[in-house]
Amino acid sequence: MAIAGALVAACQPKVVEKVVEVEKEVTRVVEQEVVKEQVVEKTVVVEKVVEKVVEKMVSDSPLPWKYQPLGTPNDGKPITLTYWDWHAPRVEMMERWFRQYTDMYPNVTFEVTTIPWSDFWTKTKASIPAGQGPDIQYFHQNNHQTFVYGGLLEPYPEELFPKTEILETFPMTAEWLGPDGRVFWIPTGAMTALIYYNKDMFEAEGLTGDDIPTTWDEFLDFAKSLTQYDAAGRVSVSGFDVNGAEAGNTSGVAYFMWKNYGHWKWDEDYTRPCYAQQEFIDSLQWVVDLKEKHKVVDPDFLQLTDAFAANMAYMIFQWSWYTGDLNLNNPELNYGCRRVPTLTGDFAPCAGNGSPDPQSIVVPVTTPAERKPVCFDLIAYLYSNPDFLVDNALTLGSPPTAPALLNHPLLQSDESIVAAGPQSEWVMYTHEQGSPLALEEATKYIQDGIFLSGMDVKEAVFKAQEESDRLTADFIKEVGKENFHVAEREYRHADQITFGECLM
Amino acid sequence: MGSFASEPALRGHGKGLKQGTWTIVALAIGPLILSYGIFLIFPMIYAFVMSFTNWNPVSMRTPLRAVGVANYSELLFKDPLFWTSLKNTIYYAALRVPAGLVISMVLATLINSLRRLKGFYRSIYYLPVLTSTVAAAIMWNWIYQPRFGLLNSVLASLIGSLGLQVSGMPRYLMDAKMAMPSIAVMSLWKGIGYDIVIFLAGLQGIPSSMYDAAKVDGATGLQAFWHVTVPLLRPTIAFIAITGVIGSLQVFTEMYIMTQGGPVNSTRTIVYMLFDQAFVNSRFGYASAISFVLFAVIMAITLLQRRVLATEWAY
Repeated sequence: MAIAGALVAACQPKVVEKVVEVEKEVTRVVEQEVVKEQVVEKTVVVEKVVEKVVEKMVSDSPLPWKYQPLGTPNDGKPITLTYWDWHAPRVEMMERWFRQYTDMYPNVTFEVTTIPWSDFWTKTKASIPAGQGPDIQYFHQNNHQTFVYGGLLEPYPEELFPKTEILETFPMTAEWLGPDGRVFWIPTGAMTALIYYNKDMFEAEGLTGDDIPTTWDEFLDFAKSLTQYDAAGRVSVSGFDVNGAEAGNTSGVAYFMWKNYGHWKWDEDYTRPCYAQQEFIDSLQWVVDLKEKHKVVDPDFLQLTDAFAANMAYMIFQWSWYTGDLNLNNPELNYGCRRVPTLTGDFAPCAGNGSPDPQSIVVPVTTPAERKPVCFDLIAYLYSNPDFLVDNALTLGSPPTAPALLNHPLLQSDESIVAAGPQSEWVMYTHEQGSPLALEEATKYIQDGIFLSGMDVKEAVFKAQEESDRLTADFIKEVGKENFHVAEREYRHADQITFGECLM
Repeated sequence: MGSFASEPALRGHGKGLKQGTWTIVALAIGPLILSYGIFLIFPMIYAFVMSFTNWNPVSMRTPLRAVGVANYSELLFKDPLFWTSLKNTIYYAALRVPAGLVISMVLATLINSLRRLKGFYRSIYYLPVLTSTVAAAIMWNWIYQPRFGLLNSVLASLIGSLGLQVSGMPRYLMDAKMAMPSIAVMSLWKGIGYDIVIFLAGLQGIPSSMYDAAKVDGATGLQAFWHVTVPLLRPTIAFIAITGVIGSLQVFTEMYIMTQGGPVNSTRTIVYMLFDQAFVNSRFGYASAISFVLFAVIMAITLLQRRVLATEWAY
């Protein structure tokens, strides 16, 4: 008995401990349930808010494609998406929209990295295959060949991006489909080059933007009349500055003008681009004459963006991304925009070449599988949202590619978009940048040879052709003809374009 | 007997000491060997193997396959850009290294002869070394701007003050003939401080008795410099010349920021070409082959330099 008593006594504390443990467990479970209920309640509230926001967005949207959320992203668990971009004005805009998405889905946050354009593509090309790239990144059509045909991008899922509706909303997408006709990115904005002019300087001369001629010949006379010189006869204020180290300015004018002649660059079976066309030589000569014969700008004068920001150029030729750049970095500069001239004044057969910047966010193929649905939901939310598309267009100075938005009042009041609008319709996109070496080398001979080293135009173009032929052939052989894609034949006015005579 | 008794204990003690030493040695150099192996040796072996393939990590649809020596034969026999780049690289090294060597040695000798402000001058010359190459390159881009740049403005003022007419100022980075020397000048400005510090260390290692002896023998300052300083600085000269050549043959950042290899490839160097092939054209296999050809060039030049500049200790 004593033993039993001792045993009971010995066991007693354990029983008590167990009871306490059980009580604690019950409390914990009850509390958890309460928390769960709270979570469920909150989730329901958030979902209702989201539903209302989306409902409003969908009902107000003039776009044929409507956002259909797949549910709470990442099942409500916290997730931080990494995003890479190169363009400061856009980064500022994206951060605004990311905050809005986070307001809708508080579990989704963003980590934004800005990498300068000069390093962006080398960094992404090195990082993505190594699985160290971002979850989402901005994309540029220059890399369509490398990224889309190289298998670096995840196609947009059909359930969120029904192809028929996407094509109806953004018809230009048809020009940029990837292998098997899949959508890898959406060209939401049609960037083109514009003539930027300094309104204050124009006003001082009693001129307005409407005085800017629409044919190249008249434009040359106009620019000449505006140019001012110092005592030594050097240009002190340029009528039209085209100086620049990078493609898209000096030789960019010539590339743009070349397209006015209405010839394809590539041969019939896309094996060889032909730079050695008399029309291209003439276009380059026009730019050389602009400097050397007509003295509208000295080769030693400031680069176009520096001169424009310093009120030392009446007009410059620049891509419309510059609008966002000016607004961010030179808000005090009173500038305006006009279309780029053509040979005849008409846009037909082609207003200019394409190094436009159809804008899109993409998802690298190496983004972890569980993160991809959130990335695509975000993209769908943004690109089906008219407010975002308008904001995007205003930030980048690019008319939206969604026809339903073209008459949006905010866009109609923006000078760069108004100027770019009709021209964008006649711009030919070329994205054979899968062979960057060929283009780079060809461009270098043209840009540096002619404009820096005083090479004869024809000689430089022939040299460029020679280099281009060798490198393009090697490149196509390496990637395989089936993986090589050239876009120019997708030009919407293809019926007006012919094959020019190749002099080599 | 006593000594016999203590022998095993000594042996054991010695063995224990040896084990301990090995442990310390392993702990000390193990991480170094490991990190060296992972981050240097392995990538080198990997790159060497990949230089015999069509390695293109960006194109996930292009299967990796061996191409034998095709990359090397293309580089050496078919790619004219390689020989242009090699010629440019050697030209840059020929401009940068001897000039750097002479100027830094002279400046170091002058600074060393100062009684005061030695530290001040050393710091002044060393400051550009601490500056980021990118920032320095951007700044020099503006200095070299033909019309509004500092250099030509000063030149124009000087010429004007002499009552002469200014016609056709130098175009520096925009001129295919002047671009490389212009970059070399910028690089000299940027890197000379490092060489000066090394020379100063070398100069301080020369016993003053040598100069006293030269003085007693009636040597002038220039003779003392030529017959005492220069021979005794030979190890330092060899070090700066060899590391300078290695660095110059790997030059990249200056060209990348200032000229992008132009005008007309006049500043395109081997490493620039390597970068272009790897990160622009995604031809990593070809770029690996370039890196090993560059390695061979550097190795050959370094061995030659070691032979020519072999130290003969004078004291």
